Amino acid sequence: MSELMHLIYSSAATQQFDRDALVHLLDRARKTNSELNISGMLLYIDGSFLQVLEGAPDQVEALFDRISGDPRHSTVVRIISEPIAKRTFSDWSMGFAEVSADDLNEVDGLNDFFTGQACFSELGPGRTKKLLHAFKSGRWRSRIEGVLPKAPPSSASEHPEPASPGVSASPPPGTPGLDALPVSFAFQPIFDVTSHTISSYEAIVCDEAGGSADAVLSSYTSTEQSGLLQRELHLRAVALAAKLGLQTGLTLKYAARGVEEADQLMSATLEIARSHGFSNNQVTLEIDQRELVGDSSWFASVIQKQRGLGLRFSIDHFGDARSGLSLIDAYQPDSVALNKNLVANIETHGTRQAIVRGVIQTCQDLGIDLIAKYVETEAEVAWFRSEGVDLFQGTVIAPPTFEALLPDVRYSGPVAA
Amino acid sequence: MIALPPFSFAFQPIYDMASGQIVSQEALVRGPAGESAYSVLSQLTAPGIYQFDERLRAAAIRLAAEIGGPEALHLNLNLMPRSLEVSPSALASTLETAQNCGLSPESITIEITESEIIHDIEGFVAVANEYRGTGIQYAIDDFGAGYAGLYLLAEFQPDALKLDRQLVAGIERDGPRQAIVRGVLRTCEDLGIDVIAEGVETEAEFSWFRSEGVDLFQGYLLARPGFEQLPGVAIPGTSARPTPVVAQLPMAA
Ligand SMILES: Cc1cc2nc3c(=O)[nH]c(=O)nc-3n(C[C@H](O)[C@H](O)[C@H](O)COP(=O)(O)O)c2cc1C
Repeated sequence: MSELMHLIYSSAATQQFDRDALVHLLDRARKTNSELNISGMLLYIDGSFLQVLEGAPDQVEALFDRISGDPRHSTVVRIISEPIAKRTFSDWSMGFAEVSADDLNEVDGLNDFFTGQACFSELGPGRTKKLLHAFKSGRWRSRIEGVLPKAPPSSASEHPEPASPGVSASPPPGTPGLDALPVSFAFQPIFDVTSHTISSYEAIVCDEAGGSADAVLSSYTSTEQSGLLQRELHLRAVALAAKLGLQTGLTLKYAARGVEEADQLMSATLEIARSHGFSNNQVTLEIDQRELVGDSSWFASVIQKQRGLGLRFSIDHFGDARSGLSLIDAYQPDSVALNKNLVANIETHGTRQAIVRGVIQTCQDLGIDLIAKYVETEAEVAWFRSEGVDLFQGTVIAPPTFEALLPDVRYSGPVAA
Repeated sequence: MIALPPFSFAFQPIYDMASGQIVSQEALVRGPAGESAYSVLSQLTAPGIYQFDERLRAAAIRLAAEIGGPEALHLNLNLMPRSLEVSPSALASTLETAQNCGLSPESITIEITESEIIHDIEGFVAVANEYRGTGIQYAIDDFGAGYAGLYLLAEFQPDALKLDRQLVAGIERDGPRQAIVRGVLRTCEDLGIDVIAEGVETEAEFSWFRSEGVDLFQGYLLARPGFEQLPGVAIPGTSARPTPVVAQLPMAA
């Protein structure tokens, strides 16, 4: 079996690349690559590179490492790396779009892939050719402008707002025992960069000291208990949010897996919210997509009905191991939050980028908000901004704050897409 | 050795509008007189079925090579759930049969359903990549039907994916499905993955996919599966009729 792979990446030039600079780069590359028995090509258009490297896996990876560290470009995104049966390029070549074909003829090894076409159409079919085609039609070009926030303005100030008056309409307490449950909540903003406002706070359950609630909650596992627990948690979260003077949306997790009384449970939550002075549309139930697998047409109809009553829905962890596109069709949520595995280091992961672009496209077409959740770095935020995503939730924007609503977030990047 | 039920094959073409050629024929198991796949497969139970699966692919290759000659033949062959896990040599033996019939690995595409892959994704990717070096290709079947979809593409990028019939049926008047398919098309274009609209039955479905730039089609509208023959296609919107038996098969890669 042959030991060959190809690696295709895109990147953005950090400096002007005129013809001389490219020729210089090519000279160097040509020499090294033939020594390493690496074939492929390099394309340059409008400040973006796309390079194909073919050869023995060790050599290709090592060269890619070296190239990645080259300061003449940045935002290096690995798009494909996989074994191949044979090379697409017998040699090393290079092409670019701006320079005229005449210019190129003078330089040995330079081909104009785009205007000359000869080389491009001679390429055998396969993913390389398809990718070059995608690049040609504008994909994989660098679009990230500035990186985002400069200064973190937020001190985790607790600002006691007047508690909401008379919680007299407080619904009957939950089950005995549950009302003594030692839990509380932290709140994490979901931030809209276009309007520079916090669109919602997600209530995250914790123990009474702000630590993990896992130990406290681990004993409520049966289906019956999880329904009661769910109700109690919503009751507490809404009450605390009201006490803290929450004016924005409130996002509550819904995790009562398999509870048949989902309908009543959701109605109760809406009722609790109303009794605390919150309006329709202010409450979003965030459903873990793992709750949605299996035959859940009854659940879909519950959600449709509840949406009609004013609740909003979000699907969380979208894109994890059991994610189905069919979920979007079946549930048509108001928003979708991407799973962490699609978000982490997205600025360097071509496959994740391609997948997320597809999800963005689908969501845009359906008027579903996409939330870039779990963002931890500025580079991740910058990438999502460059794709027109407006809603963010994650530690880099604002961490959860215990029993407090963070008044502002860390974002001073570009506002309009 | 387990007694195996008698079987044969029908073949259904996959057609590329861009090149105007049939790029592959998918082998579909049938009873000896053309009975349904179910009539054959329902006679099998667990351990035997994987052995049978290997033999099916071998028999499909031989039959197709006999009908059409190996020269321009490209075949899409199905891999049953859990075959690779139970018998990691399944692909090696398929390639060996292909070679004996004069077919290169490049002219074989293995179809796997997404639910199958997700079941043991690491194991699958390891085996699949091991054989990629031979030139064999992979297509994910029934894409969009199960729960795997996106996550799967993050871990493994096939050469092609076939949209599930559920997404295709009546797409011209179903907004959410259109939005989903546009998303899939976007992702696949960016990753250099071909998209095949499978189970296309009406001109309206066909036109919708054409308007979104899809080139590859398989379905009753273009050609019904032909029992023990390699059918030609009727291209929608033209008067071209399928030729009953096509001995000559233009091939893509
Ligand atoms: C977009 C781009 C593509 C490059 N491609 C190659 C290449 O294919 N082969 C190569 O040897 N160097 C290539 N280089 C240059 C390498 O990054 C590096 O400068 C060169 O290998 C010398 O490395 P060294 O200074 O560690 O010896 C490329 C640089 C850039 C910016």
